[in-house]
Amino acid sequence: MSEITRYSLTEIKTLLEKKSLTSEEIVSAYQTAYENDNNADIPLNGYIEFFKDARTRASAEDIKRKNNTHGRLSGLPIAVKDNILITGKKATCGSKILEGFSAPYTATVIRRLEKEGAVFLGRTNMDEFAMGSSCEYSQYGPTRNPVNREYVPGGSSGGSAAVVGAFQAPAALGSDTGGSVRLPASFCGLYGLKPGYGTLSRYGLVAYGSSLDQIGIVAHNPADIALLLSVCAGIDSKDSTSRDFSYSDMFPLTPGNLKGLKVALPVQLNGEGNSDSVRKTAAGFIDWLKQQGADVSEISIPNLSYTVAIYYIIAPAEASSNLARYDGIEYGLRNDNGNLLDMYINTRSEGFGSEVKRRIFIGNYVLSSGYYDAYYKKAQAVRSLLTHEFDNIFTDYDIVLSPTSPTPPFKLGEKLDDPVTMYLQDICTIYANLVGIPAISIPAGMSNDNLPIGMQLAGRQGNENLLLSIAQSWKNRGGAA
Amino acid sequence: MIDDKTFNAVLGLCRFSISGTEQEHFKNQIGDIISYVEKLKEIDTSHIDPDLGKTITVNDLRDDAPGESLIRTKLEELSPHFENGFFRVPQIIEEMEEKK
Repeated sequence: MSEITRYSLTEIKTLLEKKSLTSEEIVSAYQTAYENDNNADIPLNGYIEFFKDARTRASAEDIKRKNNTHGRLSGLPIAVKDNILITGKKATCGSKILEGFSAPYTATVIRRLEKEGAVFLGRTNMDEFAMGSSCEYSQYGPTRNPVNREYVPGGSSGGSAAVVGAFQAPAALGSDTGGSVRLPASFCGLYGLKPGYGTLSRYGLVAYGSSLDQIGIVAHNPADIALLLSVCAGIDSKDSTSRDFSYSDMFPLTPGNLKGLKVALPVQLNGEGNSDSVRKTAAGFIDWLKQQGADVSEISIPNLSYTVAIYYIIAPAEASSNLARYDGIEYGLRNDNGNLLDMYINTRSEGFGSEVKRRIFIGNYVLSSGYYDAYYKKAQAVRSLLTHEFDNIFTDYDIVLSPTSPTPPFKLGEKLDDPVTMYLQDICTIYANLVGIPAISIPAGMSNDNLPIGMQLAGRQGNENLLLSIAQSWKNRGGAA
Repeated sequence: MIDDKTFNAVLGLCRFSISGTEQEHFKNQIGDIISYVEKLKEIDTSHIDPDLGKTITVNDLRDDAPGESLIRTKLEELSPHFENGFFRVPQIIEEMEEKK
């Protein structure tokens, strides 16, 4: 493996500024890493497509840097989840129903990165329409964990985390509706940030659960995430839920001073339900926080026990509406054998995979007459209760701490046919989406089987900087990474 | 467990089909999920306004001014079924007349 691919995004930035390397050399190294791996006995399968024009774009950025007309991210390579649109590039959301679809416009986040000179390496694999926790529900086959290929990388942004973990990209964009950036980051031993709802524009992100979706970032280093966030964040007139948080001064990232930091440890996510190795890792992380002067207190948030149930009503309800657009008429797959209604049914039967069908069914069920009050309205009420509880918690505490996942990564196929067990994998991450707050997964240890374990910090809306600065303090002390 | 009448009604709303051999398995999985989410019934929410504490309080709306939009040539690139400004779909009116 080329040494070049071992550099973090911020290290690459420095090397390019010093003219020690060119962007074309760097992108070539990633392309070689991807191609060699793709020919291996058990390929990672992290990319659905490595862009053929990545090297040309890198070379164009090299010229801009020579002419001193470059942006802040000039020549920096980034991988992109297959549900974020780039004009002219295919975007399939890992689904057969979007096979062959090319994006007619560019996501705001991509446009901002592009303006500053970022080079996009390719489209990364994902659970179909971001519905999954293992990256096995993809039309393009499962992605494997770069640490141990018998295991899943986590989902749904499994491809994004896997290519960063396997040094086929220094950083990647993902999306997180219930933990889809943080869980893969945890399983692959990386840092993964889900910003607060509204921090990043979702214009050009294919919608799944619109009150929950956020674009997130996976990298080896919190500073890399800060660099990308500083460019991408900010209000966007094309996403009415975007917020006017400015993070332009977030990079360079300053490690946080943890003295006096008030940390809440909810017992519902830090107890017997977690595996031994996860509890051991959590204890080590808590010790470190205390050594740094943080004040860690156990608290009880009873409604945290209900987040998976709330999520699996609200997210499918929103998905059943968002995915109604895939009807075979305007774009994507069409099976027009029969009349118009047959066309809808044939197209959707052939184009959607099993998990997507389950969620659309649940969504239609909980929204249908006679069930709406019992399920959807009830879930919204409990979500409101939870949001209110977190408002109160953040008057007394700065961050909420838990493991990112109750277990280390599991083996491929282990939970594939048992939806509820798969859903419970997200028990620690879902609340941040329901409440709309930022959360980060930090690589904090390894299991007895040598598999990564992550810890999750969640903070107030608008406090991404605090989460990243704590993560950087951890990274600087030589935490597992 | 969902009864057959409800199952078929909801499946109709989904606009996809589940083949006969897979239907029982699919129905069992749906039953498991619904049983799980029913744990929310344990919580008393009679005093809760579902709108309380929503994550979005204010939408930032853009000015009511014309902006860029997709042009017709782009739509043509997206779909082989786009002809002369329209999407071609299977015949509808004739089908209905035949059914009469």
